[in-house]
Amino acid sequence: MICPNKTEWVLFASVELPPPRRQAMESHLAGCDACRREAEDMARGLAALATLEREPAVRPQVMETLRTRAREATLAMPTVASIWQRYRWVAAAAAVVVLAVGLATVMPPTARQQPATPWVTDVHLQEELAEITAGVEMLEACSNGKAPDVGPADSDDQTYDELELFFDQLRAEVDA
Amino acid sequence: MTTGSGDSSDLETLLVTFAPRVYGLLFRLVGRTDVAEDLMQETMLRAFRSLGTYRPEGKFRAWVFRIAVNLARDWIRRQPREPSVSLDDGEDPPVAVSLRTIAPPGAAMGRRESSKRVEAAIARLSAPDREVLLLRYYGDLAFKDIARTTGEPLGTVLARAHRALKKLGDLLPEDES
Repeated sequence: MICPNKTEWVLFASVELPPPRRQAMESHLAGCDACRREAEDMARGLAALATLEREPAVRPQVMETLRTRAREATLAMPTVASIWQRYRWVAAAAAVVVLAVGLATVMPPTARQQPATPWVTDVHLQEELAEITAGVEMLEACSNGKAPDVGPADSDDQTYDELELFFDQLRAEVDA
Repeated sequence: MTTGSGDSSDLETLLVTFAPRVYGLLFRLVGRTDVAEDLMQETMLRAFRSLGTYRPEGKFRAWVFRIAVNLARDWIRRQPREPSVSLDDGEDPPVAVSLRTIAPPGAAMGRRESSKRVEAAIARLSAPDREVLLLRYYGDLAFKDIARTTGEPLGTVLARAHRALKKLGDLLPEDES
């Protein structure tokens, strides 16, 4: 066995080693003077430490003051009931928020977001409906005094005539 | 000890179990009776207030002594300079002088002399080395618990203990060990 690290003799002298390791080190001591001196130094150091008063008496006045302070501290400690009384509304609001977030998390996405299904399935009818809707929006815009954005035009008169024609057609379709 | 309610029986158990040793530790760390008394009270009050939340899986003893060590460190840090001793002035260090007042009156002369020398030697140790030895002695803590208490690696703690024990061991004649 090679010599243990010197700090291991601290654990040896303090009886903090597992029994197998301790036995191995004891066997090593029989044949190693340097380690034996090391172990003796540690044991002597601990023996010196043991000459100190381990439980020095604390003055009775100090202990009495401490008891008084501890009793005061006990009285000042908030109880569970007082904490609940003070913060019950905060707790209730927090519970509502937690419940709402929890529900939103637990609910399946399909329950929260409905797919956009058209109420008219015929393609031609859909196109006609889109045109009528756009025309109605343009008419509403004109009646409010706002010219609809129809893109660039060659001249104002031409634009006006085209619009008039377009509107007439739309009115006829809407009336039909 | 019972824990969990913070009632008066808990307090008495706490005081009887820890107060003298915590006081002994603090006294040798700070070197002043009045300061050690104040810090011991603060340590006990903090431990007492936490009895209700203490969970038995932790090491309560180590936790109490960690509070004490931290309070002592804070106090020492606030001082203009650490209580230290000149090796050349030939006088007793302040710590050793104060300790005479709490030395057991009936102690044998030989033991008292040895104790005086040990007190002086402990006062001369560096603060971290002294902390390790005193936590071992007063706290009865294993070195791995001392490592947790001081926040240092176990190897460092053992190196400190080795150095400090060697110095103390040199004070005792070989036949006293």
